[in-house]
Amino acid sequence: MECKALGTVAAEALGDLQERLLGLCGVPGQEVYLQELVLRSSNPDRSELHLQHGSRKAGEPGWWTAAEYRIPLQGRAAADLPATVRSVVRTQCQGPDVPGFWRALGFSLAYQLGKQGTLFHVEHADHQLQVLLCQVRRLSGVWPASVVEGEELVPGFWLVEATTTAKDGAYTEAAAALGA
Amino acid sequence: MTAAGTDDLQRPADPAVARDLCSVTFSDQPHSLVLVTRSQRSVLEGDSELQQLLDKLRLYQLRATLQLEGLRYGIGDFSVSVARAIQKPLEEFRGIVLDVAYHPLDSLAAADPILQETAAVGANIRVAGAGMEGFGLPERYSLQHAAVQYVQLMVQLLGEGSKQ
Repeated sequence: MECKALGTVAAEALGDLQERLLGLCGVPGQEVYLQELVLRSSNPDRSELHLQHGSRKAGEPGWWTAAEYRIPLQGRAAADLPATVRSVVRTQCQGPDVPGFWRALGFSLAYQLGKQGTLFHVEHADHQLQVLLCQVRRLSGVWPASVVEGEELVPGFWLVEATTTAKDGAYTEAAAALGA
Repeated sequence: MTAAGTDDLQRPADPAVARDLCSVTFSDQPHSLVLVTRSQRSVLEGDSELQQLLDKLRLYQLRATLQLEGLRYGIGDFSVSVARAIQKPLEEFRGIVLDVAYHPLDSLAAADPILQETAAVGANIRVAGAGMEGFGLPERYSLQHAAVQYVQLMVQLLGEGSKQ
């Protein structure tokens, strides 16, 4: 199960946040370029597939992951958690044309967006947290599109995305680690 | 290897969408899975979670499973695997499969003449169609190439079995 907490930070405060994260990690964050494509199948239930392409430099071959997310946990207990919790099946994949393969299986593009920023790996309370500070960009046209050519969705603000994996269903502790 | 099709699913037929899907696993690569659509000539290699992802998406229904069981021998620069092809779950025998690999070369095009010459040594050996064109695979031989070859083999074996 995956726990995720989202927030935003103004560009003026970004430097302070990066310093704090650097202090927690001990090493500088990694520059990343992410393209996220959300695909929907031609099935009646319109299954949704999330394809993500990541690279350390713009235009590099990079790596692909494909993921299927369930709806987030709901109810009062889930509402009290500092993070969203949901089941996810995620796999790394490779091939001559990864988006083309899923297109061949009947998936069409719902939308795509790009994220350009820095990824930090933080260890806290026995949990491995990933904290991504990024600008979100609107991508359009052919898919996948170039991240750097996308238009900033919210100029002046950066997305803060913190995720961790809950081991053996212990999502309460994992979500608490994110909240801390 | 498993083969699946969409004919039994309730959805409109789109000629641009693959109606066949094969998944190939190798005993010496337990954490890898390769998916092949012959009709769209597309290949995808993933880790062991890929099958679980496919099951969650419920795109296809399982049609057939072919299992190859046998032994591998090292003979100089060659390795030769000899296996029985068994269709599950009825345990139907489909034939004997030979897998010949020439290790000094990692390019299929470069090794093809040697392999064809080797196959010609044995009588009654039919070479499964290479059929790599259109898949967009690189020159260097990989697990994805092997998967495409085994899918061609499976189609040949299961197709012949259904005619009997």
